[in-house]
Amino acid sequence: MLLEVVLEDDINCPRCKKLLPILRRICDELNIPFTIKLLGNRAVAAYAEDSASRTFSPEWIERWGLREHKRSLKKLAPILAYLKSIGAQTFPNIIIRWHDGIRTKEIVIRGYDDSDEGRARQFIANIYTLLKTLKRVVYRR
Amino acid sequence: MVYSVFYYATEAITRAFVGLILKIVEHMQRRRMVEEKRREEKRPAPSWGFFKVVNEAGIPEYTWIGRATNLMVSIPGLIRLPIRAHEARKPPTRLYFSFAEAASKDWFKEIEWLAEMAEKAGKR
Repeated sequence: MLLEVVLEDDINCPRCKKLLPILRRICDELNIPFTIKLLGNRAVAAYAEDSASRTFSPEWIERWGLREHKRSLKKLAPILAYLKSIGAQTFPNIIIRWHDGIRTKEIVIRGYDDSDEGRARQFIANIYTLLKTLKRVVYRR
Repeated sequence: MVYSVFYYATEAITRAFVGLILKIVEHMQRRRMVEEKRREEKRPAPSWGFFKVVNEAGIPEYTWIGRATNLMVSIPGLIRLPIRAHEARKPPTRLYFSFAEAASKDWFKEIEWLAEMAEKAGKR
């Protein structure tokens, strides 16, 4: 598959419930395959807005992270190590996966917050623009 | 001593009233009925079906033991064998964002910057 969107979801998650129809509508409109992956009971909600919590692996932060990530890593390291050891996954996650001819690329967006309407609208607009651009890139249309 | 009808009537009413109060008190003080809980019977250990066993080499495998037939089949656990020819030429690039980042207007700039960083790290 050249381009796909995966939503990592949990059954008891109210934010996922709100995000799901929006994403489905975008994908239907752009004709992009959309799948929902329901996570098990080890899932952890990704509502935290700390920049280091967007990834669970300390190695990732050490390699790619910014200065602020590394600064907060000192505090978060034991929690991250624990979450990694139990194999925890966050939800809701939007995974946008595409193949550009050389390798598979993925964009993972963790968390969703609809309390601020303007922000949520901007988020959805961003995702729509990104998917539209990616579709043009992948299918050369 | 002659009792009047009025006296008997008053006595009867008082007796009934006091009797009612006593019965209510008795009802309140009595112990509640407790039903005995049914004892849960432990399931017997399964004698047939799939069993996870560790073989002599220390690798977990599943063994099927038949119910009616004297059948025992061991199925080795599936292991992912790394084959060099099947490996992708370059590992997948994964970029992580939080909601706050994705909801900002400069998100696309950040994606570009992160992609550049990933490219650089991949070339090394």
